Amino acid sequence: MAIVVNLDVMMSRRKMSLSELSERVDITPANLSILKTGKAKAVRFSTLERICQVLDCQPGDVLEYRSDEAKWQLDEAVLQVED
Amino acid sequence: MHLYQGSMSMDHTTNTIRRLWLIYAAFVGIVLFCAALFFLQLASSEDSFLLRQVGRTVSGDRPFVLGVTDLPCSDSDTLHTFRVEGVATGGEILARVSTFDMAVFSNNADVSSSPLVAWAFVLQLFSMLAMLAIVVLVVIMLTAVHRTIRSGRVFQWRNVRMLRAVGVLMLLMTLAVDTSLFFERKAAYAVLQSTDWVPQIRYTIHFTRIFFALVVLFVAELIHIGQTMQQEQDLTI
Repeated sequence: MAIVVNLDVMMSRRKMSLSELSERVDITPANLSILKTGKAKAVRFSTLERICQVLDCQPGDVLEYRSDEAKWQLDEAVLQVED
Repeated sequence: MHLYQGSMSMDHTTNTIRRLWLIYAAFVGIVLFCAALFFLQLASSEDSFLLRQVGRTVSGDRPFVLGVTDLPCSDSDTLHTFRVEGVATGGEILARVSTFDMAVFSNNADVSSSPLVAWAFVLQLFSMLAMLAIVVLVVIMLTAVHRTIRSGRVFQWRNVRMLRAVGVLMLLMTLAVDTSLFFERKAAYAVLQSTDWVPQIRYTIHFTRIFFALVVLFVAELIHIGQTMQQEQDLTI
C-alpha cells in the first residue's frame, strides 16, 4: 500500500509502548498492532485524532505517502546496506 | 468493541434471532414432514403402483426388472382417450391418460442389463446423495448463521463457500434427476416401442429448480460482497 504508517517511529520518539498507547487511545492492542504493521485498510479520523493527541504530533508524522517507485528504491537501498 | 456489534441494538438482534428461529422451525418441519411421508409411503405402499410391483417381485416366473413412473403418453387423440361412463349429470366426458407408470417383469437380460437403466440408477443415486448433502449443508449453515448473528459477524467466507456448494449441488442434482428420467424413458421406449403405449421421449428440464439454484448462487455472491465489506470494516481502525 502507498500509505505508510510510521506509528512505531513516533512511539519510540515518545518512548511509549504499544500497550500504553492502546490504553490511552482506547483501542485494543491487536487493532493497534494491525495499524502499526500497515495491515489496516482504513483509519477513522476519530482514531487518528486520539493518536495525535496522545503522541503530541501531526497526522503527517504518523502517515506518509510513498509512491511505489519510491518504495522500490527504498527497498533496494535497504538490500544494498544489508549486503 | 466491534463496530458492527455496537451499531446493532439488542432489540434488533433479538428480532433477527426470532425470525431465524421461525425459519429454522419451518425448515425442520418440512424436512420431518417429507421424511415421515416418505417412510409412510414405503411402509404402506398403498399409493405407489411401483412400490406394489416391487413388493410383488415376481410375476409368474419372470422377475421384476424395471419400473418407471410418470411416462408421458404419445400425443395421439385416439389412443389413451376414454369416454367416462355412468356420468350422473348427463353429457359426455372424455378422459385422457397423459402419464402412466410401468413395471416390467422379464427374463430378458437385455432389459435388466441395459446401460440406460444402469446410468439412470447411478444418476438417481447421485441425486439422492446430493439432496442429503444439501440438507446437511443447509443445517450447518443455519446453525453457523445463528452463532454469527450473536457475535455480529454474519458475512463469513465459510458461509459463502457453503452457499456456493448448495447452489452447485442443486444445479447438479436437477440435471442428474432430469437426465436419469430421460434415460428411464428411453429404456421404457425400447421395451414399449411396438405397443400402443409408446411413451414420448423428451428431455424435460425443471426450470424452477434451476431458477432456485441460481438464486442461491446469487445470494452467495451477495454474501461474498458483504464478507469483503466486513473484512474492510474489521481492518478499519
